[in-house]
Amino acid sequence: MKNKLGQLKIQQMAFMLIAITIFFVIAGMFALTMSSANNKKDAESIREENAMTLVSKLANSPEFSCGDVFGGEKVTCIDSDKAMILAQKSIEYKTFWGVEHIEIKLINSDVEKLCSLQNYPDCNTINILNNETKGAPISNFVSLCRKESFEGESYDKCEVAKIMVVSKGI
Amino acid sequence: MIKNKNAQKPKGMSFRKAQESKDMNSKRAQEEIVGFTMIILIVAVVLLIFLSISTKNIQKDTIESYEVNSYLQALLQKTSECRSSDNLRYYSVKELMFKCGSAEICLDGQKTCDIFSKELGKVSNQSWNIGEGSPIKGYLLNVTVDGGELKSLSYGNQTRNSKGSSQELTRDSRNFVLEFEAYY
Repeated sequence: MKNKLGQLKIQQMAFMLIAITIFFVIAGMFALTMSSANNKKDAESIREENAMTLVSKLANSPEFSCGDVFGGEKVTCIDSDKAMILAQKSIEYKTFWGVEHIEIKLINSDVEKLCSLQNYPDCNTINILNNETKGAPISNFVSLCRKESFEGESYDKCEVAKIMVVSKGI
Repeated sequence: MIKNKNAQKPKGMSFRKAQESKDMNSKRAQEEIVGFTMIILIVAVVLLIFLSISTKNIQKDTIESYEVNSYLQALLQKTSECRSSDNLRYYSVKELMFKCGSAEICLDGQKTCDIFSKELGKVSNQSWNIGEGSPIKGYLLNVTVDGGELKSLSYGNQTRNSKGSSQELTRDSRNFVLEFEAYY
């Protein structure tokens, strides 16, 4: 009888141990999945941050930025005229920025109208660099400003645009 | 016979004892089960608390967005169709917001608030492609002045996932806040 009771106790203990082990294994796995998901999110946010930094760096570079031309300091502002000139010199600037593709698109129409010296400013897409690429573009909103004239007087015209960049590194 | 009777007594006793010990065992087993259940409950509660804290942190992370922030900057810098009363320039959306706060009118007689809401709606619709197949499901734009609503517009569905940003500007001791939330 005592032997049987002892066996029962051992059995009980074994079951308890197995149950506790299984429980902690499941809890550990859950915690691990949670932490790996957080790591993935962190990596994604770092990637996004890098991409946005690259786009902002490009928009704020002296080759693109508005500077003081359009009255005071504007944030992520691209001078449309500068961009047009750069688009004509894409061969010289092919490796300058270390990216494969740069495009500035005005947010005013769904129909794409590529800019050239002949139709500017009645267009909405300035293609600055157009190397063949398979990478996904990263984009950010910018202000695209230029000088316009009204009744013989010039004024600043800024529009909302998107700069799209394809980089090998990101 | 006497011997047999005497021999039967301890047998009955041991049966009772065995019964008692069986009862004791089941009582103990019950207590153990209760203890085990309590441990599971405590760990489950701790896990739930941990889970809720971690999801709260994730939500906080998604609120900050470079794209939405850049959009607000570009929107405020956009030149509107409203010509200033001195006929020297066109107001930017930022200036239009301030003018709308003091209910001024444009050179052509149009209300600055009408042009302001027209600009907000037009640019937001063109910038955030909402529709089937698009990752953006909707947006909400709120403009307040000193805590009171100046303009509010929304489009599409408001889902649980969002990217948002806000711009706070002060003009003539009045506090203007422009908030934008993109739902995906």
